[in-house]
Amino acid sequence: MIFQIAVLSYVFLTCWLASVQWRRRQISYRFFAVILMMHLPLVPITLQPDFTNHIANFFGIGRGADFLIYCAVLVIGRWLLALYQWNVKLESEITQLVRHLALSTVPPRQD
Amino acid sequence: MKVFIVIPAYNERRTIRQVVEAVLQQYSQVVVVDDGSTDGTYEQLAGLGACRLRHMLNRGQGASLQTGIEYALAQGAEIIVTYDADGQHCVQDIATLIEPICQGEAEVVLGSRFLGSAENIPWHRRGMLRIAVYLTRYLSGLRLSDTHNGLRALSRTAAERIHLTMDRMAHASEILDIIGREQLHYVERPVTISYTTHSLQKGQSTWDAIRLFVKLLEAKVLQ
Repeated sequence: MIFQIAVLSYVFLTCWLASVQWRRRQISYRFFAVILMMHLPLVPITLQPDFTNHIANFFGIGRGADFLIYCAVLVIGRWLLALYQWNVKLESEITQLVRHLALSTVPPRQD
Repeated sequence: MKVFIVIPAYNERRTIRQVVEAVLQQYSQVVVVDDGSTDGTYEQLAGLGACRLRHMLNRGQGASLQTGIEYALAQGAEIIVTYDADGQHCVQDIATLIEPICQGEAEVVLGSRFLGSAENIPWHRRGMLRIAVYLTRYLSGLRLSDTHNGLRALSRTAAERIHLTMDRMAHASEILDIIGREQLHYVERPVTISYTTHSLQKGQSTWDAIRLFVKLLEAKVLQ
């Protein structure tokens, strides 16, 4: 019971904080939707642990816990790739900025 | 023809002045891109007559070359030569490199230490470069005798088509990749590389080469 209360409190708090930030336009609608999609499924999974077994069986996986692990691996993998791509883009933008500054502040030649 | 020599430099205080002075004796348009050096490299260039560009942050050799190339193009360069700052290149080789472009035989001329001479080259570096040659052949389809040689000449049309996005050392492979993709006419010319203790310290280790290869594969996958 303690576990269920802890998880549900965490889900409620996270979604509530995200909605406050979304309404204040501190996060985008897309990011808010991602947070909801990642957290709301925890509610039925926590209240009805057998529920995941049904989904797992549907996909041909024996146990619900295994199904959750596979999902987590896929989500984390995709998230890492997105983070990497974001980092590459950021690095590229920094380089462009540094280049722009270098080219716009060329000192006169001292022959 | 208006020839620009682009020299990217990062913490090259010990050699940069000597290198730039040697190049300036034969070519008047020298562009040095200081890549956020912290050892006073930029200050060493004062009063030499070379154009000094400065990156506020260290962004890598590829980024510095692209900055220098963009500057040279804006100044009306017809031929752009890339040249290392660590003193391992020979100024006389520049004439050998720009000749095929002047004659209209090629758009890109790549220096090859294995057609020319590589003095004091360590055996492990020779082996590493041989592997790189085969990987280049596989990845870009170019049949070269040398790869990752900093001495190369680009015609204006080639320089306009080559836009380096790999900021660090992987740019050397990226250039070859673009040459293959854009079907630029290229030739190799023999050049002399003199390995000194300083240039070997500044050069890439075997581990760097492995990381570089992984970086290239990553870029190809992300493309």
